[in-house]
Amino acid sequence: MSGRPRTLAVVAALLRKEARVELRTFESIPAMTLFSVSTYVLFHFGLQEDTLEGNLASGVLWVTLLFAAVLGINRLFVADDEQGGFDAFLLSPADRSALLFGKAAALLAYLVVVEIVTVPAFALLLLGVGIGQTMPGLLAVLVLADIGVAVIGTLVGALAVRTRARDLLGPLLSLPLLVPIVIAAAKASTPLLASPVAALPARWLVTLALYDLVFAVIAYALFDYLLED
Amino acid sequence: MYGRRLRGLALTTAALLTLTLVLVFFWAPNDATLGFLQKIFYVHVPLAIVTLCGFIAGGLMAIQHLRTRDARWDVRSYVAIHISLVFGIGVLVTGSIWAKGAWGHWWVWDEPTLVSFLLIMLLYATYQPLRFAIEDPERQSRYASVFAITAGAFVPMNFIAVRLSTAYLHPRVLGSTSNLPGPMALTFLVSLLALALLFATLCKYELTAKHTRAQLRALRRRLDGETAPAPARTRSAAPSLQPVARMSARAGGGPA
Amino acid sequence: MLATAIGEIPALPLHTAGKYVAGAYVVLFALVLIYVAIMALRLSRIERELGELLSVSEHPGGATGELGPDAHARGDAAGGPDAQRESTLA
Repeated sequence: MSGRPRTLAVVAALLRKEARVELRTFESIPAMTLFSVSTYVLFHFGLQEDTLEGNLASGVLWVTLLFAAVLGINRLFVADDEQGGFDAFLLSPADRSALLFGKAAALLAYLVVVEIVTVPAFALLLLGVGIGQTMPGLLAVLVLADIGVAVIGTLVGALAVRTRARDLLGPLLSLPLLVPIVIAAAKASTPLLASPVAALPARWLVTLALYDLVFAVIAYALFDYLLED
Repeated sequence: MYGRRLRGLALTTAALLTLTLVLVFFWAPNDATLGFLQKIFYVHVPLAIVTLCGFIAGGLMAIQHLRTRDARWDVRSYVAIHISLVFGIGVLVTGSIWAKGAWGHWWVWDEPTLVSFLLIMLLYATYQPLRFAIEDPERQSRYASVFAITAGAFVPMNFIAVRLSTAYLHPRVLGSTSNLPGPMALTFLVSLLALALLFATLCKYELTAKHTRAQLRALRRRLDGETAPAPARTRSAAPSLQPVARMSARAGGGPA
Repeated sequence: MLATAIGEIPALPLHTAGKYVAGAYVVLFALVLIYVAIMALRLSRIERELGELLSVSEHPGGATGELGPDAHARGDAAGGPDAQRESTLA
């Protein structure tokens, strides 16, 4: 056999493992989905509104998504930490960044699956305008925001999982880092969810993309230091 | 030795701070539109600039720590972030006072600097709990450095993001120094320098105190006998310095 | 120049704005003073520990044995604000 496996192959293997674990244990996705839907109901009662538009709709959508993501971030590395997954990975000849890419891709996949269910649920429960008019702009915003959440979530998850207060530190660390994503995503989707639908401001898409890029580079540079032990 | 230049630094800082106060209250003219309230500007904005630079410096020192694995860089990073946190509280409080004076509310979302600061402080407030949650000192330093670098990169991006989100609604009232008249600009610069030196003095002060305590512990261990085991360190969020014994410059016999 | 500037004053009357400005500068002053106080506490603790070490070094042997464990305990507990932080964070 040749020497080191190619990174892409390792990432693919990691993704397959994550999918297999998730399908067997159903740890993350059902919880994130149910949590989102419950939160929409909560917002209905909290805001005392039947339908939402514009900035209110945007806010409810993104805040709920963020908190669901935090649930996912909390669970992302727990199995690896408790059952020796970290050690197993370190012993393998794979490039360590592959763990970062693999886990980030897994978190991204979780978010996408959750959104496939919860965004229509949001449209059904709370949205005052037709969901059709918001696509494909909303899709673009969702994808870019999800990438940012996945990258930051993986970095923070790895950082928090091996501390004593991992359930507390995960959200505490990730929420401030995710705020600019919320700022940009909310600003971007507000005109899309408004009553006379307005155009998607490209400026915020660019901001999201830049933020994602910067943190992807930072995560790539720093991830190795979290793994050595 | 950490305390070597502390005296000169402290004296310079004291002189510059005094000069700043004199300039602010006796020389700088009153702003035409904002009046006497504008004087807060001379403490709030330099404090903010120094705090942000302190956080970024903490990140840079953390990079050095990860590169060189020298624990001293981690201690410097810790101290820089620690003191920046204290200064940051000062920024939020003085900014709040200014907001109350200018707009009648203790908090306003219109001022992007204040909002950015709130976010940054929320992030850095987790620095100590993070350190405290990791018991192994080497891992604590390493994880803290990763955090400091991430947060340091977050600082400028956060500013840009928040500024973008409010730029088209409200003009920035705390204007830049480029359109300040001469005497005001000079006072501002002196204040900035004074507060930057205050930051440096407090950092050095803190490092010297830490080092002194480390020397004390080492001396105690030595006096208690070489065979005495090192006392178990209780859980601490603060990194510790390795004591450095200084060779006495004075002539004369005796052990070095 | 100053007189004309003062003559054109503004937005807030001096006696109102004065309080806010004073408040801001007092905050800065208070922060520095609190720091001085914390450092003073640490210094007094260091002085006390050095005094103990000095007495230990003058009576080595038996006295060391007695003082040893106690000194250890006190040395750990008297960690100053770090120890206080530990206890509040714990």
